[in-house]
Amino acid sequence: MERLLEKKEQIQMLDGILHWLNANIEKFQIPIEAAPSTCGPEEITADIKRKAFSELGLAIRLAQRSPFLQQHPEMKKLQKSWVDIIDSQDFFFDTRRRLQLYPHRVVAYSVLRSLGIENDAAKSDLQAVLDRGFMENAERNAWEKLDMKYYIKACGLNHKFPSDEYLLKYSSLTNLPNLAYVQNLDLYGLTHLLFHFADFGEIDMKHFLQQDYQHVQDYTDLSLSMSVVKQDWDLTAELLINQYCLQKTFSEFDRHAAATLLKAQQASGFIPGREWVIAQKTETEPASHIFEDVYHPTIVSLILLDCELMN
Amino acid sequence: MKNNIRNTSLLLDQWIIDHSHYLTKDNLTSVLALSQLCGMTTGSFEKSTAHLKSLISGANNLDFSSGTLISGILSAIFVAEHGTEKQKTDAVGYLAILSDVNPDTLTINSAVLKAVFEENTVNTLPVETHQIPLFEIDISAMIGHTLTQTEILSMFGTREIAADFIFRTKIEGMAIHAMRIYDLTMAMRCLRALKYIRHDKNLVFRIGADYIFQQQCYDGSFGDFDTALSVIEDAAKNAEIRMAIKLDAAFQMMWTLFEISDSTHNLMHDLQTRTLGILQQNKNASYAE
Repeated sequence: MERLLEKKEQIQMLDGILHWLNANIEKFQIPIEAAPSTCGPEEITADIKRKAFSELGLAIRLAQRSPFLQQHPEMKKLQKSWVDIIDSQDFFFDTRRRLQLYPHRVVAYSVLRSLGIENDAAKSDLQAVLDRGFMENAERNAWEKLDMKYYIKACGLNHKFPSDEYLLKYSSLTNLPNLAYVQNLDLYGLTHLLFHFADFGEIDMKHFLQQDYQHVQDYTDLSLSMSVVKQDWDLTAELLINQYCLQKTFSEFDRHAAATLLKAQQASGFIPGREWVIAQKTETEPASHIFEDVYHPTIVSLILLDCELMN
Repeated sequence: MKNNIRNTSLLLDQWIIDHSHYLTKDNLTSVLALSQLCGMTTGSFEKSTAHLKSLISGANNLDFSSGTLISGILSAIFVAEHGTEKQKTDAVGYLAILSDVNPDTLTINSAVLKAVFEENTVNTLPVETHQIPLFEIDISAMIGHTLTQTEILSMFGTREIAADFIFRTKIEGMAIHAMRIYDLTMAMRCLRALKYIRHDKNLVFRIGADYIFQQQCYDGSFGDFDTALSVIEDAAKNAEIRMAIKLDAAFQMMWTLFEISDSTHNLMHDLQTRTLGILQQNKNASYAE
Protein backbone atom coordinates (compact mmCIF):
# COMPACT_ATOMS: atom_id res chain seq x y z
CA MET A 1 0.00 0.00 0.00
CA GLU A 2 1.26 3.48 -0.81
CA ARG A 3 2.13 5.99 1.89
CA LEU A 4 1.83 9.74 2.41
CA LEU A 5 5.32 10.26 3.82
CA GLU A 6 8.74 8.87 3.01
CA LYS A 7 10.07 6.34 5.54
CA LYS A 8 12.59 8.87 6.88
CA GLU A 9 9.84 11.44 7.35
CA GLN A 10 7.58 8.92 9.10
CA ILE A 11 10.31 8.08 11.58
CA GLN A 12 11.20 11.73 12.17
CA MET A 13 7.59 12.60 12.93
CA LEU A 14 7.00 9.45 15.00
CA ASP A 15 10.11 9.86 17.14
CA GLY A 16 9.22 13.47 17.88
CA ILE A 17 5.63 12.67 18.83
CA LEU A 18 6.53 9.69 21.03
CA HIS A 19 9.26 11.69 22.71
CA TRP A 20 6.82 14.52 23.50
CA LEU A 21 4.08 12.17 24.73
CA ASN A 22 6.46 10.30 27.04
CA ALA A 23 7.94 13.56 28.31
CA ASN A 24 4.48 14.95 29.03
CA ILE A 25 2.72 11.82 30.26
CA GLU A 26 1.96 13.43 33.65
CA LYS A 27 -0.29 15.93 31.82
CA PHE A 28 -2.51 12.98 30.81
CA GLN A 29 -2.84 11.94 34.44
CA ILE A 30 -6.54 11.52 35.22
CA PRO A 31 -7.82 11.97 38.80
CA ILE A 32 -7.83 9.03 41.18
CA GLU A 33 -11.33 7.76 40.42
CA ALA A 34 -11.72 6.15 43.84
CA ALA A 35 -10.87 9.36 45.69
CA PRO A 36 -13.64 10.56 48.03
CA SER A 37 -16.24 12.50 46.05
CA THR A 38 -19.07 14.71 47.24
CA CYS A 39 -20.53 14.66 43.73
CA GLY A 40 -23.16 12.09 42.81
CA PRO A 41 -21.65 9.43 40.49
CA GLU A 42 -24.17 10.20 37.74
CA GLU A 43 -23.02 13.84 37.74
CA ILE A 44 -19.34 13.09 37.11
CA THR A 45 -18.45 14.09 33.56
CA ALA A 46 -15.36 13.63 31.44
CA ASP A 47 -13.01 16.60 31.77
CA ILE A 48 -10.27 17.41 29.27
CA LYS A 49 -7.73 15.13 31.00
CA ARG A 50 -10.06 12.14 30.86
CA LYS A 51 -10.74 12.88 27.19
CA ALA A 52 -7.04 13.30 26.41
CA PHE A 53 -6.27 10.06 28.22
CA SER A 54 -8.89 8.08 26.20
CA GLU A 55 -7.67 9.59 22.94
CA LEU A 56 -4.10 8.67 23.76
CA GLY A 57 -5.38 5.16 24.43
CA LEU A 58 -6.95 4.99 20.98
CA ALA A 59 -3.62 5.90 19.35
CA ILE A 60 -1.95 3.12 21.39
CA ARG A 61 -4.66 0.63 20.40
CA LEU A 62 -4.27 1.33 16.68
CA ALA A 63 -0.49 1.08 16.99
CA GLN A 64 -1.01 -2.60 17.85
CA ARG A 65 -1.92 -3.18 14.20
CA SER A 66 1.67 -2.37 13.23
CA PRO A 67 4.44 -4.86 14.12
CA PHE A 68 6.94 -2.01 13.79
CA LEU A 69 5.09 0.16 16.30
CA GLN A 70 4.46 -2.77 18.65
CA GLN A 71 8.21 -3.23 18.97
CA HIS A 72 9.12 0.46 19.13
CA PRO A 73 10.79 1.11 22.54
CA GLU A 74 9.21 4.56 22.96
CA MET A 75 5.79 3.16 22.08
CA LYS A 76 6.29 0.34 24.60
CA LYS A 77 7.21 2.92 27.21
CA LEU A 78 4.09 4.95 26.40
CA GLN A 79 1.88 1.85 26.63
CA LYS A 80 3.31 0.95 29.99
CA SER A 81 2.75 4.46 31.35
CA TRP A 82 -0.82 4.43 30.04
CA VAL A 83 -1.63 1.05 31.59
CA ASP A 84 0.02 2.15 34.85
CA ILE A 85 -2.35 5.14 34.98
CA ILE A 86 -5.35 2.79 34.52
CA ASP A 87 -4.18 0.79 37.53
CA SER A 88 -2.92 3.60 39.77
CA GLN A 89 -6.00 5.79 39.25
CA ASP A 90 -8.49 2.92 39.63
CA PHE A 91 -9.87 3.83 36.19
CA PHE A 92 -12.92 1.53 36.20
CA PHE A 93 -14.13 2.62 39.67
CA ASP A 94 -17.97 2.64 40.02
CA THR A 95 -18.60 2.02 36.31
CA ARG A 96 -22.19 0.95 36.98
CA ARG A 97 -23.10 4.44 38.28
CA ARG A 98 -20.69 6.80 36.51
CA LEU A 99 -22.65 6.62 33.27
CA GLN A 100 -21.30 9.83 31.77
CA LEU A 101 -17.83 8.29 31.82
CA TYR A 102 -19.08 5.13 30.08
CA PRO A 103 -17.96 6.13 26.53
CA HIS A 104 -14.41 6.73 27.81
CA ARG A 105 -14.40 3.50 29.72
CA VAL A 106 -15.29 1.41 26.69
CA VAL A 107 -12.54 3.16 24.72
CA ALA A 108 -10.07 2.37 27.52
CA TYR A 109 -11.22 -1.24 27.80
CA SER A 110 -10.84 -1.70 24.02
CA VAL A 111 -7.25 -0.43 24.39
CA LEU A 112 -6.46 -2.90 27.17
CA ARG A 113 -7.96 -5.68 25.09
CA SER A 114 -5.74 -4.76 22.11
CA LEU A 115 -2.77 -5.10 24.48
CA GLY A 116 -3.93 -8.58 25.51
CA ILE A 117 -5.07 -7.40 28.95
CA GLU A 118 -8.43 -8.71 30.14
CA ASN A 119 -10.13 -7.38 33.26
CA ASP A 120 -13.14 -9.56 33.98
CA ALA A 121 -14.60 -7.36 36.69
CA ALA A 122 -14.44 -4.22 34.54
CA LYS A 123 -15.86 -6.10 31.56
CA SER A 124 -18.71 -7.48 33.65
CA ASP A 125 -19.60 -3.95 34.85
CA LEU A 126 -19.47 -2.56 31.31
CA GLN A 127 -21.75 -5.37 30.10
CA ALA A 128 -24.14 -4.87 33.03
CA VAL A 129 -24.65 -1.23 32.05
CA LEU A 130 -25.37 -2.25 28.47
CA ASP A 131 -27.84 -4.93 29.55
CA ARG A 132 -30.12 -2.30 31.11
CA GLY A 133 -31.47 -1.36 27.69
CA PHE A 134 -30.45 2.28 28.09
CA MET A 135 -27.19 2.97 26.22
CA GLU A 136 -28.36 1.79 22.81
CA ASN A 137 -31.85 3.28 23.14
CA ALA A 138 -31.14 6.76 24.52
CA GLU A 139 -31.78 9.46 21.92
CA ARG A 140 -28.48 10.04 20.14
CA ASN A 141 -27.55 10.88 16.56
CA ALA A 142 -25.92 8.36 14.22
CA TRP A 143 -22.44 9.80 14.87
CA GLU A 144 -22.72 9.35 18.66
CA LYS A 145 -24.26 5.90 18.33
CA LEU A 146 -21.59 4.74 15.90
CA ASP A 147 -18.77 6.09 18.10
CA MET A 148 -20.05 4.15 21.08
CA LYS A 149 -20.94 1.03 19.12
CA TYR A 150 -17.46 0.86 17.58
CA TYR A 151 -15.70 0.68 20.97
CA ILE A 152 -18.32 -1.57 22.54
CA LYS A 153 -17.76 -4.03 19.69
CA ALA A 154 -13.99 -3.70 20.16
CA CYS A 155 -14.50 -4.59 23.85
CA GLY A 156 -16.26 -7.80 22.82
CA LEU A 157 -19.47 -6.79 24.63
CA ASN A 158 -22.97 -7.88 23.60
CA HIS A 159 -25.06 -4.96 22.36
CA LYS A 160 -28.25 -4.07 20.52
CA PHE A 161 -27.03 -1.12 18.47
CA PRO A 162 -28.42 -0.98 14.90
CA SER A 163 -26.34 -2.32 11.99
CA ASP A 164 -23.73 -0.05 10.37
CA GLU A 165 -25.86 -0.01 7.21
CA TYR A 166 -28.79 1.35 9.24
CA LEU A 167 -26.61 3.96 10.97
CA LEU A 168 -25.16 5.01 7.60
CA LYS A 169 -28.65 5.67 6.27
CA TYR A 170 -29.37 8.06 9.14
CA SER A 171 -25.92 9.69 9.15
CA SER A 172 -24.83 12.83 7.31
CA LEU A 173 -22.52 10.77 5.07
CA THR A 174 -25.47 10.02 2.78
CA ASN A 175 -26.53 13.68 2.73
CA LEU A 176 -23.51 15.82 3.53
CA PRO A 177 -24.09 19.36 4.81
CA ASN A 178 -23.24 22.17 2.38
CA LEU A 179 -19.53 22.92 2.92
CA ALA A 180 -20.06 26.66 2.54
CA TYR A 181 -21.94 26.75 5.85
CA VAL A 182 -20.37 23.98 7.95
CA GLN A 183 -18.99 24.61 11.41
CA ASN A 184 -15.90 22.75 12.62
CA LEU A 185 -18.10 20.42 14.64
CA ASP A 186 -19.83 19.28 11.43
CA LEU A 187 -16.46 18.41 9.93
CA TYR A 188 -15.52 16.42 13.02
CA GLY A 189 -18.81 14.58 12.43
CA LEU A 190 -17.54 13.61 8.99
CA THR A 191 -14.12 12.52 10.24
CA HIS A 192 -15.51 10.40 13.08
CA LEU A 193 -18.13 8.71 10.92
CA LEU A 194 -15.39 7.73 8.47
CA PHE A 195 -13.00 6.57 11.24
CA HIS A 196 -15.50 4.22 12.74
CA PHE A 197 -17.44 2.96 9.72
CA ALA A 198 -14.09 2.22 8.06
CA ASP A 199 -12.44 0.87 11.24
CA PHE A 200 -9.51 3.16 10.40
CA GLY A 201 -8.96 1.68 6.95
CA GLU A 202 -9.93 -1.95 7.54
CA ILE A 203 -13.31 -1.81 5.75
CA ASP A 204 -13.79 -1.43 2.00
CA MET A 205 -15.64 1.90 2.01
CA LYS A 206 -16.21 1.86 -1.74
CA HIS A 207 -18.37 -1.19 -1.22
CA PHE A 208 -19.93 0.14 2.01
CA LEU A 209 -20.80 3.63 0.72
CA GLN A 210 -21.66 2.47 -2.79
CA GLN A 211 -23.24 5.35 -4.78
CA ASP A 212 -22.22 7.90 -2.11
CA TYR A 213 -18.53 6.98 -2.19
CA GLN A 214 -17.39 9.47 -4.85
CA HIS A 215 -19.18 12.42 -3.30
CA VAL A 216 -17.79 11.59 0.16
CA GLN A 217 -14.32 11.43 -1.40
CA ASP A 218 -14.67 14.77 -3.21
CA TYR A 219 -16.11 16.37 -0.07
CA THR A 220 -13.24 15.03 2.05
CA ASP A 221 -10.70 16.36 -0.48
CA LEU A 222 -12.25 19.81 -0.46
CA SER A 223 -12.45 19.85 3.36
CA LEU A 224 -8.78 18.89 3.49
CA SER A 225 -7.71 21.73 1.21
CA MET A 226 -9.74 24.16 3.34
CA SER A 227 -8.09 22.86 6.53
CA VAL A 228 -4.60 23.24 5.06
CA VAL A 229 -5.39 26.82 4.02
CA LYS A 230 -6.72 27.56 7.53
CA GLN A 231 -3.57 25.94 8.96
CA ASP A 232 -5.79 23.81 11.16
CA TRP A 233 -3.38 20.92 11.72
CA ASP A 234 -5.83 19.02 13.91
CA LEU A 235 -8.49 18.78 11.23
CA THR A 236 -5.83 18.29 8.56
CA ALA A 237 -4.52 15.18 10.37
CA GLU A 238 -8.05 13.82 10.90
CA LEU A 239 -8.93 14.31 7.23
CA LEU A 240 -5.70 12.61 6.15
CA ILE A 241 -6.69 9.62 8.31
CA ASN A 242 -9.99 9.75 6.40
CA GLN A 243 -8.06 9.38 3.15
CA TYR A 244 -6.72 6.12 4.62
CA CYS A 245 -10.26 5.19 5.67
CA LEU A 246 -11.41 5.71 2.08
CA GLN A 247 -8.44 3.66 0.82
CA LYS A 248 -7.69 6.47 -1.57
CA THR A 249 -4.91 6.55 -4.13
CA PHE A 250 -3.19 9.56 -2.57
CA SER A 251 -2.96 12.75 -4.59
CA GLU A 252 -0.05 15.17 -4.75
CA PHE A 253 -2.07 17.43 -2.44
CA ASP A 254 -2.56 14.70 0.18
CA ARG A 255 1.23 14.25 0.29
CA HIS A 256 1.67 18.00 0.47
CA ALA A 257 -0.76 18.17 3.43
CA ALA A 258 1.14 15.40 5.25
CA ALA A 259 4.47 17.13 4.55
CA THR A 260 2.99 20.35 5.96
CA LEU A 261 2.10 18.55 9.19
CA LEU A 262 5.69 17.40 9.45
CA LYS A 263 6.94 20.94 8.88
CA ALA A 264 4.56 22.22 11.56
CA GLN A 265 5.98 19.77 14.12
CA GLN A 266 7.95 21.58 16.82
CA ALA A 267 11.43 20.66 18.05
CA SER A 268 10.06 19.08 21.23
CA GLY A 269 7.84 16.85 19.09
CA PHE A 270 4.28 18.16 19.36
CA ILE A 271 2.08 19.32 16.49
CA PRO A 272 0.62 22.73 17.32
CA GLY A 273 -2.98 23.84 17.32
CA ARG A 274 -4.14 27.21 16.08
CA GLU A 275 -4.18 28.79 19.56
CA TRP A 276 -0.54 27.89 20.07
CA VAL A 277 0.43 29.49 16.75
CA ILE A 278 -1.41 32.70 17.62
CA ALA A 279 0.11 32.76 21.13
CA GLN A 280 3.62 32.37 19.71
CA LYS A 281 3.11 35.24 17.30
CA THR A 282 1.25 37.64 19.54
CA GLU A 283 2.51 37.19 23.09
CA THR A 284 5.75 38.79 24.17
CA GLU A 285 6.69 35.90 26.41
CA PRO A 286 4.81 32.93 25.00
CA ALA A 287 4.37 29.76 27.02
CA SER A 288 6.37 26.85 25.63
CA HIS A 289 3.03 25.35 24.56
CA ILE A 290 -0.57 25.17 25.62
CA PHE A 291 -1.30 21.53 26.44
CA GLU A 292 -5.04 21.78 25.73
CA ASP A 293 -4.34 23.14 22.28
CA VAL A 294 -1.48 20.90 21.20
CA TYR A 295 -2.25 17.48 22.66
CA HIS A 296 -5.06 16.68 20.23
CA PRO A 297 -3.31 17.47 16.91
CA THR A 298 -0.31 15.53 18.28
CA ILE A 299 -2.37 12.43 19.12
CA VAL A 300 -4.29 12.59 15.84
CA SER A 301 -0.97 12.80 14.00
CA LEU A 302 0.17 9.69 15.87
CA ILE A 303 -3.02 7.92 14.71
CA LEU A 304 -2.14 9.02 11.16
CA LEU A 305 1.27 7.42 11.65
CA ASP A 306 -0.45 4.28 12.98
CA CYS A 307 -2.19 4.11 9.58
CA GLU A 308 1.06 4.89 7.73
CA LEU A 309 3.00 2.19 9.54
CA MET A 310 0.34 -0.54 9.47
CA ASN A 311 1.31 -3.84 7.85
CA MET B 1 -28.01 27.20 -14.42
CA LYS B 2 -28.94 29.61 -17.24
CA ASN B 3 -32.57 29.79 -16.02
CA ASN B 4 -31.41 30.46 -12.50
CA ILE B 5 -29.15 33.27 -13.73
CA ARG B 6 -32.00 34.81 -15.70
CA ASN B 7 -34.35 34.73 -12.69
CA THR B 8 -31.61 36.12 -10.44
CA SER B 9 -30.96 38.88 -12.91
CA LEU B 10 -34.65 39.80 -13.22
CA LEU B 11 -34.95 40.16 -9.46
CA LEU B 12 -31.81 42.28 -9.29
CA ASP B 13 -33.07 44.40 -12.18
CA GLN B 14 -36.19 45.19 -10.15
CA TRP B 15 -34.14 45.93 -7.00
CA ILE B 16 -32.18 48.62 -8.85
CA ILE B 17 -35.40 50.30 -9.98
CA ASP B 18 -36.96 50.03 -6.51
CA HIS B 19 -33.89 51.58 -4.90
CA SER B 20 -33.08 54.29 -7.43
CA HIS B 21 -34.12 56.94 -4.90
CA TYR B 22 -31.00 55.99 -2.95
CA LEU B 23 -28.77 56.85 -5.91
CA THR B 24 -26.29 59.61 -5.27
CA LYS B 25 -23.43 61.20 -7.19
CA ASP B 26 -21.10 58.80 -5.34
CA ASN B 27 -22.80 55.54 -6.20
CA LEU B 28 -24.29 56.36 -9.60
CA THR B 29 -21.37 54.95 -11.61
CA SER B 30 -21.50 51.76 -9.49
CA VAL B 31 -25.14 51.27 -10.46
CA LEU B 32 -24.46 52.02 -14.11
CA ALA B 33 -21.59 49.52 -13.99
CA LEU B 34 -23.79 46.87 -12.41
CA SER B 35 -26.51 47.43 -14.95
CA GLN B 36 -24.00 47.24 -17.82
CA LEU B 37 -22.44 44.10 -16.35
CA CYS B 38 -25.80 42.37 -16.01
CA GLY B 39 -26.94 43.52 -19.43
CA MET B 40 -23.77 42.12 -21.01
CA THR B 41 -23.76 38.91 -19.05
CA THR B 42 -27.41 37.95 -18.88
CA GLY B 43 -29.04 40.00 -21.59
CA SER B 44 -32.00 40.59 -19.29
CA PHE B 45 -31.61 44.01 -17.77
CA GLU B 46 -33.94 45.97 -19.97
CA LYS B 47 -36.03 47.54 -17.22
CA SER B 48 -33.23 49.12 -15.21
CA THR B 49 -31.30 50.06 -18.35
CA ALA B 50 -34.24 52.12 -19.58
CA HIS B 51 -34.76 53.52 -16.10
CA LEU B 52 -31.12 54.50 -15.63
CA LYS B 53 -30.97 55.94 -19.13
CA SER B 54 -33.72 58.41 -18.26
CA LEU B 55 -32.21 59.00 -14.81
CA ILE B 56 -28.81 60.11 -16.16
CA SER B 57 -30.23 62.16 -19.01
CA GLY B 58 -30.15 65.28 -16.86
CA ALA B 59 -26.85 64.59 -15.14
CA ASN B 60 -23.85 66.73 -15.90
CA ASN B 61 -20.22 65.64 -15.57
CA LEU B 62 -20.55 61.96 -14.69
CA ASP B 63 -17.46 60.92 -12.75
CA PHE B 64 -16.31 57.59 -14.17
CA SER B 65 -13.35 57.46 -11.81
CA SER B 66 -15.37 57.65 -8.58
CA GLY B 67 -15.36 53.90 -8.03
CA THR B 68 -13.09 51.04 -9.03
CA LEU B 69 -11.42 50.99 -12.42
CA ILE B 70 -13.58 48.10 -13.64
CA SER B 71 -16.66 49.95 -12.50
CA GLY B 72 -15.45 53.06 -14.33
CA ILE B 73 -14.93 51.18 -17.60
CA LEU B 74 -18.34 49.48 -17.36
CA SER B 75 -20.15 52.70 -16.54
CA ALA B 76 -18.38 54.47 -19.41
CA ILE B 77 -19.54 51.72 -21.78
CA PHE B 78 -23.09 52.16 -20.45
CA VAL B 79 -22.97 55.91 -21.02
CA ALA B 80 -21.29 55.56 -24.43
CA GLU B 81 -24.28 53.48 -25.49
CA HIS B 82 -27.14 55.15 -23.60
CA GLY B 83 -26.06 58.68 -22.65
CA THR B 84 -26.72 62.07 -24.23
CA GLU B 85 -24.35 63.21 -27.01
CA LYS B 86 -22.27 65.22 -24.49
CA GLN B 87 -22.15 62.31 -22.07
CA LYS B 88 -21.19 59.90 -24.88
CA THR B 89 -18.28 62.16 -25.84
CA ASP B 90 -17.10 62.24 -22.21
CA ALA B 91 -17.37 58.46 -21.88
CA VAL B 92 -15.46 57.79 -25.11
CA GLY B 93 -12.86 60.33 -24.01
CA TYR B 94 -12.44 58.51 -20.70
CA LEU B 95 -12.01 55.14 -22.43
CA ALA B 96 -9.56 56.68 -24.94
CA ILE B 97 -7.41 58.05 -22.11
CA LEU B 98 -7.35 54.66 -20.42
CA SER B 99 -6.39 52.94 -23.66
CA ASP B 100 -3.37 55.25 -23.95
CA VAL B 101 -2.05 54.51 -20.47
CA ASN B 102 0.92 52.19 -20.54
CA PRO B 103 1.40 50.93 -16.99
CA ASP B 104 4.79 49.45 -16.20
CA THR B 105 4.16 48.27 -12.62
CA LEU B 106 2.25 45.16 -11.66
CA THR B 107 -0.80 46.33 -9.77
CA ILE B 108 -4.46 45.35 -9.89
CA ASN B 109 -5.32 48.44 -11.94
CA SER B 110 -2.48 47.92 -14.39
CA ALA B 111 -3.66 44.32 -14.81
CA VAL B 112 -7.18 45.59 -15.60
CA LEU B 113 -5.83 48.05 -18.14
CA LYS B 114 -3.65 45.43 -19.82
CA ALA B 115 -6.49 42.90 -19.83
CA VAL B 116 -8.94 45.33 -21.44
CA PHE B 117 -6.73 47.39 -23.72
CA GLU B 118 -3.76 45.20 -24.71
CA GLU B 119 -3.37 42.25 -27.04
CA ASN B 120 -3.07 38.88 -25.26
CA THR B 121 0.32 37.37 -24.60
CA VAL B 122 1.20 34.24 -22.68
CA ASN B 123 2.41 34.61 -19.09
CA THR B 124 3.78 32.08 -16.67
CA LEU B 125 2.96 32.34 -12.98
CA PRO B 126 6.32 32.29 -11.18
CA VAL B 127 6.81 29.41 -8.77
CA GLU B 128 7.50 31.70 -5.79
CA THR B 129 3.92 32.93 -5.76
CA HIS B 130 2.87 29.39 -4.76
CA GLN B 131 4.65 29.65 -1.45
CA ILE B 132 2.34 30.28 1.47
CA PRO B 133 3.89 30.89 4.91
CA LEU B 134 3.56 27.98 7.35
CA PHE B 135 2.49 29.90 10.43
CA GLU B 136 0.28 32.72 9.29
CA ILE B 137 -1.77 34.68 11.79
CA ASP B 138 -3.85 36.63 9.30
CA ILE B 139 -5.26 33.96 7.00
CA SER B 140 -7.47 36.49 5.18
CA ALA B 141 -4.49 38.71 4.36
CA MET B 142 -2.59 35.68 3.09
CA ILE B 143 -5.52 34.69 0.85
CA GLY B 144 -5.91 38.28 -0.36
CA HIS B 145 -2.25 38.41 -1.33
CA THR B 146 -2.44 35.08 -3.20
CA LEU B 147 -5.55 36.20 -5.08
CA THR B 148 -4.03 39.55 -6.03
CA GLN B 149 -0.97 37.77 -7.44
CA THR B 150 -3.20 35.41 -9.42
CA GLU B 151 -5.38 38.22 -10.76
CA ILE B 152 -2.38 40.29 -11.79
CA LEU B 153 -0.38 37.51 -13.40
CA SER B 154 -3.33 36.00 -15.22
CA MET B 155 -4.63 39.51 -15.97
CA PHE B 156 -8.02 38.38 -14.80
CA GLY B 157 -8.00 35.26 -16.90
CA THR B 158 -6.98 36.86 -20.18
CA ARG B 159 -3.50 35.31 -20.00
CA GLU B 160 -2.67 31.67 -19.58
CA ILE B 161 -0.66 30.98 -16.44
CA ALA B 162 0.96 27.85 -15.07
CA ALA B 163 -0.59 26.82 -11.77
CA ASP B 164 0.16 23.37 -10.39
CA PHE B 165 -2.30 20.99 -8.76
CA ILE B 166 -1.32 21.96 -5.21
CA PHE B 167 -1.83 25.65 -5.91
CA ARG B 168 -5.19 25.03 -7.61
CA THR B 169 -6.32 22.85 -4.72
CA LYS B 170 -5.35 25.56 -2.22
CA ILE B 171 -7.44 28.15 -4.05
CA GLU B 172 -10.37 25.70 -3.79
CA GLY B 173 -9.84 25.53 -0.04
CA MET B 174 -9.60 29.32 0.13
CA ALA B 175 -12.97 29.61 -1.63
CA ILE B 176 -14.66 27.36 0.94
CA HIS B 177 -12.93 29.16 3.81
CA ALA B 178 -14.10 32.55 2.50
CA MET B 179 -17.69 31.34 2.16
CA ARG B 180 -17.62 29.94 5.69
CA ILE B 181 -16.44 33.25 7.18
CA TYR B 182 -18.94 35.19 5.02
CA ASP B 183 -16.34 37.22 3.17
CA LEU B 184 -18.36 37.51 -0.03
CA THR B 185 -15.81 39.47 -2.03
CA MET B 186 -13.02 37.07 -1.12
CA ALA B 187 -15.20 34.05 -1.93
CA MET B 188 -16.10 35.48 -5.34
CA ARG B 189 -12.48 36.37 -6.11
CA CYS B 190 -11.48 32.79 -5.26
CA LEU B 191 -14.10 31.30 -7.57
CA ARG B 192 -13.00 33.56 -10.43
CA ALA B 193 -9.32 32.82 -9.70
CA LEU B 194 -10.11 29.11 -10.04
CA LYS B 195 -11.46 29.90 -13.48
CA TYR B 196 -8.35 31.92 -14.36
CA ILE B 197 -6.08 29.00 -13.47
CA ARG B 198 -8.25 26.54 -15.42
CA HIS B 199 -9.37 24.52 -12.41
CA ASP B 200 -11.41 21.58 -13.57
CA LYS B 201 -12.98 20.07 -10.43
CA ASN B 202 -16.73 20.55 -10.29
CA LEU B 203 -17.66 20.39 -6.61
CA VAL B 204 -16.28 23.79 -5.62
CA PHE B 205 -18.00 25.50 -8.57
CA ARG B 206 -21.30 23.76 -7.74
CA ILE B 207 -21.03 24.89 -4.12
CA GLY B 208 -20.05 28.39 -5.30
CA ALA B 209 -22.94 28.79 -7.75
CA ASP B 210 -25.41 27.53 -5.15
CA TYR B 211 -23.92 29.94 -2.61
CA ILE B 212 -24.48 32.87 -4.97
CA PHE B 213 -28.10 31.97 -5.66
CA GLN B 214 -28.72 31.47 -1.93
CA GLN B 215 -27.34 34.94 -1.16
CA GLN B 216 -30.06 36.71 -3.11
CA CYS B 217 -32.61 38.29 -0.79
CA TYR B 218 -36.36 38.66 -1.15
CA ASP B 219 -35.99 42.16 -2.62
CA GLY B 220 -33.48 41.01 -5.27
CA SER B 221 -30.33 42.40 -3.61
CA PHE B 222 -27.45 40.20 -2.45
CA GLY B 223 -26.04 39.45 0.99
CA ASP B 224 -27.23 39.62 4.60
CA PHE B 225 -25.59 42.40 6.56
CA ASP B 226 -28.33 43.33 9.04
CA THR B 227 -26.33 42.51 12.15
CA ALA B 228 -23.24 44.39 10.99
CA LEU B 229 -25.34 47.40 9.96
CA SER B 230 -27.32 47.40 13.21
CA VAL B 231 -24.52 49.40 14.86
CA ILE B 232 -25.15 52.38 12.55
CA GLU B 233 -28.02 54.16 14.27
CA ASP B 234 -28.46 57.09 11.90
CA ALA B 235 -31.13 55.91 9.43
CA ALA B 236 -29.89 57.91 6.45
CA LYS B 237 -26.28 56.84 7.00
CA ASN B 238 -27.41 53.24 7.48
CA ALA B 239 -29.32 53.27 4.18
CA GLU B 240 -26.40 54.86 2.35
CA ILE B 241 -23.89 52.28 3.60
CA ARG B 242 -26.34 49.43 3.04
CA MET B 243 -26.75 50.52 -0.57
CA ALA B 244 -22.99 50.72 -1.10
CA ILE B 245 -22.41 47.26 0.39
CA LYS B 246 -25.30 45.71 -1.50
CA LEU B 247 -24.08 47.20 -4.78
CA ASP B 248 -20.61 45.79 -4.19
CA ALA B 249 -22.00 42.38 -3.29
CA ALA B 250 -24.28 42.30 -6.35
CA PHE B 251 -21.40 43.30 -8.61
CA GLN B 252 -19.14 40.58 -7.24
CA MET B 253 -21.85 37.91 -7.42
CA MET B 254 -23.00 38.69 -10.97
CA TRP B 255 -19.43 38.95 -12.26
CA THR B 256 -18.63 35.56 -10.77
CA LEU B 257 -21.85 33.97 -11.97
CA PHE B 258 -21.04 35.13 -15.48
CA GLU B 259 -17.52 33.70 -15.39
CA ILE B 260 -18.30 30.34 -13.84
CA SER B 261 -21.48 29.62 -15.77
CA ASP B 262 -19.66 28.99 -19.04
CA SER B 263 -16.09 27.86 -19.67
CA THR B 264 -15.70 30.47 -22.45
CA HIS B 265 -16.92 33.46 -20.41
CA ASN B 266 -14.44 36.12 -19.33
CA LEU B 267 -15.51 39.62 -18.38
CA MET B 268 -12.22 41.30 -19.34
CA HIS B 269 -12.32 39.69 -22.75
CA ASP B 270 -15.84 41.01 -23.30
CA LEU B 271 -14.83 44.45 -22.06
CA GLN B 272 -11.97 44.47 -24.55
CA THR B 273 -14.30 43.65 -27.45
CA ARG B 274 -16.80 46.26 -26.30
CA THR B 275 -14.33 49.12 -25.65
CA LEU B 276 -12.37 48.51 -28.83
CA GLY B 277 -15.67 48.57 -30.74
CA ILE B 278 -16.66 51.88 -29.14
CA LEU B 279 -13.26 53.46 -29.72
CA GLN B 280 -13.10 52.23 -33.32
CA GLN B 281 -16.61 53.49 -34.04
CA ASN B 282 -15.68 56.86 -32.63
CA LYS B 283 -12.52 56.97 -34.74
CA ASN B 284 -14.52 56.15 -37.88
CA ALA B 285 -17.02 58.86 -37.01
CA SER B 286 -14.17 61.38 -36.61
CA TYR B 287 -12.72 60.45 -40.02
CA ALA B 288 -16.15 60.82 -41.58
CA GLU B 289 -16.42 64.35 -40.24
